[in-house]
Parts: sequence; structure tokens; C-alpha cells
Amino acid sequence: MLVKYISLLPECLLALNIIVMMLVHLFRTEQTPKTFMTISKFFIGTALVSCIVFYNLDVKENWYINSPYTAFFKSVILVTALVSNFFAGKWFLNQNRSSFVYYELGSLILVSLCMAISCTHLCILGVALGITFLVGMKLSCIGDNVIEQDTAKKEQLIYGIIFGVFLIGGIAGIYYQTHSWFYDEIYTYYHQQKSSFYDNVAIASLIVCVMFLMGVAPFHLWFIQIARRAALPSASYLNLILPTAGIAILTMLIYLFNAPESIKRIFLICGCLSVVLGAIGTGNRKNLKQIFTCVGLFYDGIIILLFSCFNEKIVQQSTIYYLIYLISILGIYICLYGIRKRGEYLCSIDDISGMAEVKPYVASGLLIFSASFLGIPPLLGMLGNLTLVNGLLVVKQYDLLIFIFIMLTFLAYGLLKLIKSVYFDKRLYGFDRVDKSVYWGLFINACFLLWVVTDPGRIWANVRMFIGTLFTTGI
Amino acid sequence: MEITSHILLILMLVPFFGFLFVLMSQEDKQKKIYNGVAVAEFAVCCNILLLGKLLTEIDLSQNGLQFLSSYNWLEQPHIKISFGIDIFSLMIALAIHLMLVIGLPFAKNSQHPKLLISLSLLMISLLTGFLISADIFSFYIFFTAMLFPLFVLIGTVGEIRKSSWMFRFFIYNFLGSIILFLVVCTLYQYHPQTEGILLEQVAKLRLPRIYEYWIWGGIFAALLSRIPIWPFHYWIASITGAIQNPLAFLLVNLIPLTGVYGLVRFCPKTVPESVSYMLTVLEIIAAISMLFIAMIGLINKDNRYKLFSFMTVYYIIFLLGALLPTNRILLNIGYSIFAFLIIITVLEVLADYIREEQQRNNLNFYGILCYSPRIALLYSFFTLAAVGFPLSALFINNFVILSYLFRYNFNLGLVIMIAIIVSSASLLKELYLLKDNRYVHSDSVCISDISRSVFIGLSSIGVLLLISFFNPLLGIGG
Repeated sequence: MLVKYISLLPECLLALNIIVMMLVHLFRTEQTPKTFMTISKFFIGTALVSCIVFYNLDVKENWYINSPYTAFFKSVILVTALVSNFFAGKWFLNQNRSSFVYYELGSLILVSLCMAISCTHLCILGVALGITFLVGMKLSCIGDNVIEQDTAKKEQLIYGIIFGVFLIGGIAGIYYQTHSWFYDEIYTYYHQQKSSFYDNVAIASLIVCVMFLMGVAPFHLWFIQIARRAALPSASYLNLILPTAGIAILTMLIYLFNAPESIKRIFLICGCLSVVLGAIGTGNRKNLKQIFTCVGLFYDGIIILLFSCFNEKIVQQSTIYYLIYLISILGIYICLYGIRKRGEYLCSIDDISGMAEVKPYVASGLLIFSASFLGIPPLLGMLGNLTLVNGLLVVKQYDLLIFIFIMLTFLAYGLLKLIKSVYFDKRLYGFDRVDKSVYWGLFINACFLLWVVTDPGRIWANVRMFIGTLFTTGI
Repeated sequence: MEITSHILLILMLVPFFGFLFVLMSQEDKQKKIYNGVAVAEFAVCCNILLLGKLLTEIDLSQNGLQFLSSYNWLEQPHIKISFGIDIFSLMIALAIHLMLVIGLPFAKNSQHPKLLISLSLLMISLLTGFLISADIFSFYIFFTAMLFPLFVLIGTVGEIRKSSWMFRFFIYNFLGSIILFLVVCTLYQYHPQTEGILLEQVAKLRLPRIYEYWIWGGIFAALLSRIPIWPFHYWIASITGAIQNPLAFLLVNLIPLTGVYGLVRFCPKTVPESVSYMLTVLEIIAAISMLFIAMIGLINKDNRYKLFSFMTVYYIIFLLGALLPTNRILLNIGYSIFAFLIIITVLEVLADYIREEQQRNNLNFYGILCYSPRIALLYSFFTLAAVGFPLSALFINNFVILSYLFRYNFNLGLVIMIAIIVSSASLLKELYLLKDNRYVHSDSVCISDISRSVFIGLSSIGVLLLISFFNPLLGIGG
């Protein structure tokens, strides 16, 4: 019996993490930000290990599935959370603020996302997505000042209503049409008959809901607002984790619903909008967190555009493309954790002017990761672009290809503004000493970035094969 | 394993390690990083020795790239990175290295000497990689990889006031890179079984008509994005004209050379017939551009812009020479570029010295060289060598290139001749003004002359050039 449920260990450990943190918060008198960081590090780490070890053990219940595919995405999310939490801990230590809420909510998001990825029951999916969204909203409030709290509440209410309508509408619609909550029966329904108008509306509603969670345009506003308002740990956490989980869920839904033609249009429109708004937004924003949220929007848009092809190989390649982006954006957030002035983390592009003069390594990090975003060789981003182009050439989507690369030049403009500020502008302020962990984080990330490109033959072939296997055996 | 088989890789890596070393070195408070200069000079001199070794071993009678070495890079698509060199690329590589040897001591005067030296080494490493790349993928990698260091170099050391110029410059070049990337991917997509497509094979690949249009159109567009061709010349011209540091100016002015070199490497003389009309269009645009830029150079008062226009005119001549349907003058172009780059380097270094002295002493530009015999002698020598006097290998080789251009198309030759005369006139006019003694009196303040050691160093380069007039390869290379 226990063996049967052992694959639920990651979720259980994450849930235990929440309970332990709560107990520590209630009963331990001496609490520092480091306390919760250590607890979460332990539990997320063990959850990660259990996720990898029991990657092929399934519960064999029809409401939950554990496959290499789900294990892989859960592992990626957990690794990202681990890195993000580590640097967030430094942030709370420097700010001398309680980290309990952050780690508690962060863990709750992880549990719900793991459930959302592994579940094969619509109700569980709905609950997990709902919890993620609500907790995400709450998490974004860390760092709010009193004046902004009222406005934030109003905005959150509006976003919550929209999200709720899509989520409930989508799930109810699908249940109404298929008369089942379970994925296997829904799969059979959509693969045996042509989907009707109401089917399409229900599917679109659920897919849009996931896109909403990922912050894909035209539902990107809440993400941009979070980036502006939220503290650096919350902004980075949500920016890294939600889109990753969103991609995993979206891929499952595409396979589940047999992706009717009308849904393609939704993907195409949302993808194009995201690419355009992301590329233009990068150049128009002054807030660093918002700039990189826009960069994220651009890349999410590309993934959505690739999904619009509904080709198995392209979907696989989009996963590789996303992972490459994830490595670069992780590097960028590590850089942001290294930019401080008198204990305050700097968020405006004007604040970091002339930073290269005194913080050359952090500045180099920003330069390298920005270059990687643009696919400048010999960085990892170039391999991402190679994957993208090869995929789109195979399915003869030349117009999409040209569109993406034209928009890439707009993105380049935005990133050049950042580089200009860091390297060419006169220095206005002094900067605090950079934490050593930031340097280590940057060093490891940059080495990985260069190492993969120096000898991609073996690594690349293995990654492609691995992702291919995940998709063929997992979903 | 023989060192010769990896010598090309080492050529690229030596300056790269130099770059890393300088980047991580500590800058002292007075910003006198003589150590950085010494490391850079050492790395560049090592490479010159390696290039010298290649020069002695290269077989001049053999066509195509030599010392070929390949490295497996990616499995799907199967990409092999190949390196190779011929006398043409060897001469350019040697000239670029000598250029840096001459320019590096002047890096100390920069506001950011450490950054300038490190980026110069990185640029040299990437340029060497570009010159020795034998397949289309490595060609693309080095073609694009130069962009970011160049952008940082222009922004920090170049002291460009208008950031919009820099952005346009980058995006214009970035677009060219994107086009080349798409072309390269298309080629690999179409020939997936090929074990790396060599540059010289591109023209021989059999492709459907529509692919030929796209691939050759893309190649021309990508490479022309590096050359200040009308009507897009302004973005490059505005940048190069505004750069304040001589080393940065010289490095940025190598970018058009990469475009010219790329067109030579792709061997467009053997392009498929269906796209051969593109060459005619290219020739017309090139001729218009050179005339246009030569005129602007003549009327422009800025010394740097004059030098930029002069360089551009010559680059386009080399390009047009390389596009001729013959391989005979390729070696002449190589010799000519070699002498040309060295002459331009010395001229820029001297011009920068004059400018600085003029600003420091608040002097009039006219007749500034009248009472500085050493600098006057050197400046006159190199200006006359640049405009085509029989003082260097430039004279005889340009003569051969021009005679071939006239033979191929008389009208084109005529336009080129006019452009050369106009751009030479602008340099001669500059020299005349600098030595015009009507504005100077014996008791007026003068600029201090260059030191004896610098004079001897630069004079020896003059002597080397003079010898190259009689025997360009000095008997090396068979």
C-alpha cells in the first residue's frame, strides 16, 4: 500500500514543509529569515530527490499520474524554487524582515503546481490552479507599501474574477460536454469525435485560464503589475515558476483535447500579442523587474506560437527552447540580487547607470545573459534559436519565423538600453558589496552557458533524446 | 598529435586567454596598466610568430584553404566546425595583428584602458576566428559574436554622445546577422546529410530557384550590412566618425573589412546563374556608394571622417576586385589590404597625436606640422603611400586591381578612378593644410614632436612598407 503511494512523496514533503514552517512560526521564539530558508531548503531538496528517484513509480489511480514527463517538469520547478529561495533568503536577511509568509506561500504554490501537473482529474486541476492563482496574488503583496495596498486589492479582485470565470467556465463546460472529470475519458471523448462549438468554448476557456496563470498576453497585465509592485523574491519566484508549470500543463491539455483548429487561432493570437508586447515593453519600461517580465512575456509568446503549430516535434523543441531561456533568466535574477545601494535593492534602470565601473562581474553577467536572450553566439541562446529555426523550417512556418526574428530586433533595442545604462552612462551612486553567493551563482550559470556551447555534441544529443523520450513515454 | 593541425585553434585562443587575463587583472588607481598592455602585446606577438610559421609553410601554388582542421560540434543538425587558411586570409590576419601592435601602446591614453585592451584582444580573437573559419556555421558564429564586444567598445571607449547612433548601428548589424543565421539554417535544413558545409561549397550546392534567391540574397544582404553601402552608410559613418580613441577607431573600421572578406570567401564569382544579376546590382550600389562617400570625405572637415571615407572607398575597391570573375588578383588584393591596413593604422595614430596636441595647446589646425619635422616626415610619407605613391605594396597591387577592373568594365573602372582621386585629394588637402606655413610664424607655439623611440618604431614600419613595394612577401612562402 505504501509503495503504491510513494510517488506522492514530493507533494507530501512539500505539504509537510508548510506544516513544519507553521509550527516553527507558532512555537519557536527565535526566528530569523534564515530559519525558514533552511527548512524550505531541506524539504524542497528532499522533494526534488524523491521526485527524481521515484520518477517512474505511478500511483495507478485514475486521478493522479506520475510519469517521466511530470517528474521532469516537477524537478525543473523544484530546482528553480530551490535557487530562487536561496537568493530570496539573502534578500530577507539583508532587509531584516520575516521570511515566513514568503516561504509558506511559495511552498503552497509548489504543492498546488505539482498537483496540477500530475493530476488527471479536472476538479483537482481546477482547485490546484485556483490555489496557485490566489496564493500567487497574496505572494505578490510582499513588499507592498500601505498606499499601494488598496489599489492592489481592487486589481486583484478584478483579476481574480476574470480568472475564476475562465477556470470554472472551462471545467464546467468540459464536464457538461464529456460527462466526466477524468482525463482518460475526456481524452477518449475528444479523440473519437469532432469537437462542437461548445466543446471548443470550454477547451478555450480552460486553456486561456492556464495562459492567464502564465501571464501570457492579453492576460499579462497582472504579471506586469506584480513585477512593478512586488518585492524582488516574489517577482522572481512567480516569473520563474508559474510559466514553467504553465507550459507543462498546457502541453498536457493540448494532447488531452486533441487541439481543435479554432484553438490554434487562440494560441496564434496570444503568442503574437505576447511577442509584440514583450519585445516593445522591454524597451519602454524603466523598472528592471518589469523589463525582465517583458522579456519573459516575449519568450512565453514564442512558446505559445510554437504550440500553435500543434506538431509533436515542435512542442518538444519548444520545451528545450524554454529551458534555455530559463537558465538565462535565472542568471538575470541572480544579477538583480547583487545590485544594492545602502541595503536597498535597486530596481530602476537609472539606478544602475555606470554599474560596470564598480561591479564589473555583475555587469558582465547582465551583458552575457542579455546576449544569450538575443541568441548571440557563442552563448546558449544561439542553440535555442537554432532549435527554434529548425523546428519552424520543418513545418514550413516561414512567416512565423520572420515575425519572431523581426520582433527579436525590438527586444534587442530594449536590452541595449539596459547595457547602455550599465556600461556607458555615468555612475550616479555607489553600490553595496555583492554577496559571494551571487558571484558563485553567476559563475556557475555562466560556465554552464559556455560549457554547453563549447561541446554541445554529447549534451545536446542527450537532451534532445531525453525530451523526446519524455514526450513519447510520459504524456 | 602535430601542433600544425591545431595551430589555427591556438591562433584564436591565445588572444582570448590574453583577454581573460587582462579582464581579471587589477587596475591601479592612476589607471596606468602597463601590465595589461604588455600582456596584450605578448599575446599578439605570439600570434604573429604563429602566423609567420604558417607563412613559411603555406603553399602558394595551391588553391583553396590549407591547414584544414575540423571539430565535431553538434549531432542534429550535423555541424562540424572547420578552420582553414589561405594566403589571402593570412595576410589580412597578419595585418590586423600588426595593427594592434602599433595601436596598443596608445591604449594607455584612453579613459578606460583596461576595458579597451581586453576588448581589443577579444576582438582580435574573434576576428582571427572569423578569418580562419572554413565552414558556414563557424563563419556565422564569429561574424555575429563580434557584435557585442564591438558595441561595448564603441559605447565605453568610443565616447559616442548620441546613443541612438549606437543602437541603430547595432540593430543594423544584428539584422544582418539574423539574416545570415536564417540562411545558414536553411542550408543545413536542405542538406542535413552534409558533414558541415564549407564556405566554398555554398556556390556549388544545387538548390531550387526560390532557395537560390533567398540564400544568395540573404548572404549579400547580411554581408553588405557590414559595409557602409549607400543608403545605409550613415549609421556606420556616424559611429566611426565620432569615435575618439585611435585603437577603437581602427577596430571599428575593421568591420567593413569583415563584410568584404565574407563576400570574397563565399566566392560569388561562381554564384548560380539565376542570381548572377544580384552581382550587377551589387556593383552598381557599390560604385554609387564609393563615389558618394568619397565626396562626403572631401567636403567634411573632420579628419577622422576623411580617413573613414578613404578606407571605405578602398574597401569597396577591394570588394569589386574580388567580385571579378577571376582568381588571379586575389593575392594582389591580399597584399594590398596588408599594406593598406598598416598605413591607415600609422596615419590614425599620428592624426590622433596631432589632434591631442592641438587641443592641449589650443593651436590652429593649419600649419601645425611646420615645426615638428619627425611627425611631419612620417605623416607625409604615410599619406603619400596611402594615396598610391610608389612607396609600398599598395602601389603595384592597386595598379593591377584597377587595370583588371578597367578591363572588365570600363565605366565601372572610371567611376572607381574618380572615387580614388576624390578620396586621395581629401587626404592630400589635409596634409597640405597641416603643412601650410602661411599661418605659422617661427615664434608661435608649436606642438611637441614625437619622441625618438616612437619615430624609430614608426620609421621602421615605413621601411618595411618600402621593402614590400619591391617584394611583398619578402621571399617567404615560396
